[in-house]
Amino acid sequence: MAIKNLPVKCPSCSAGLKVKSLHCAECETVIEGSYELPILAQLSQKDQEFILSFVKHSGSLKEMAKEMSLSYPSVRNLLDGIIDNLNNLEVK
Amino acid sequence: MSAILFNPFERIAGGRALIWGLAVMLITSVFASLANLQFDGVLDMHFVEQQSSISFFTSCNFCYVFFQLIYCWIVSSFLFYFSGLIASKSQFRILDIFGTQAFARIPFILPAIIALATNQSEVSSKTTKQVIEGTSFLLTPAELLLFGLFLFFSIISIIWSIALMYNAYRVSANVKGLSATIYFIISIILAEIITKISFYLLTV
Repeated sequence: MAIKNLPVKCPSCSAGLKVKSLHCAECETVIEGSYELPILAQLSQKDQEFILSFVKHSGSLKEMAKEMSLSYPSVRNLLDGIIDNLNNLEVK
Repeated sequence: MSAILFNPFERIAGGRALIWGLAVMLITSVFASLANLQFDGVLDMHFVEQQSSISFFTSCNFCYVFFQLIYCWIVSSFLFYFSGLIASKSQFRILDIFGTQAFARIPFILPAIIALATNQSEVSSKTTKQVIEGTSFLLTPAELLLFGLFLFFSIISIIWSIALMYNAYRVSANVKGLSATIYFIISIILAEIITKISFYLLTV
């Protein structure tokens, strides 16, 4: 089954998307409202995977560099890029 | 392929890059000293007629060439480190700066090997004599060809090394865009000036 990416930006006007409806697959309950997407969910799939990996490696960039076959500064630069993205999202 | 040749620092940095860089500098010094080639600047190389006039190194030309390479590497690395502190918003390790800059000097092994293999020291002496004394053309066609080959590989190695130094600086200090270019140019020019003056003062 293909993995679906959660869209976070409107394809029409590029504004940030909000959650309007949540659905329970077990009992068919539907919850409607207007909810902000969590800030982490607004990051790209690649950035989210990086953060997951970062947590699983207990914040060790050295270990992540070994696993990703990248140099330490390259991994550090990826982390700095994500920090910039998060700061920009928080400002918005 | 071009990514690996000009920007291997996505994969290698820190201690590993440092070890490789120092090892190749050592080997470069062996070939260069045998070929009477010296590196009296960050981007410079010259043939010398005589051994070093610095008393500490007169009995060991290899030691002097190795000292030149190490000194140029240290001066340029410190300048890149300090300019990185100014230009970069990120934290970075001094080991990555020094390691990647050492690795960036690997291309200088090319002219050292070719200079030794083609006896360029002799060719250089003949050419200098011709220019100074105004004597007739002394190089044979074969010597001219080999000189051209040496010149070609020298220029290639300098360009390659500059590209590696730039990418080493950019990746290790996480400096981007125009800032990276401007700070790199300022640092390398300063490094060249400092090393040239230092080596001149050492030999005076």
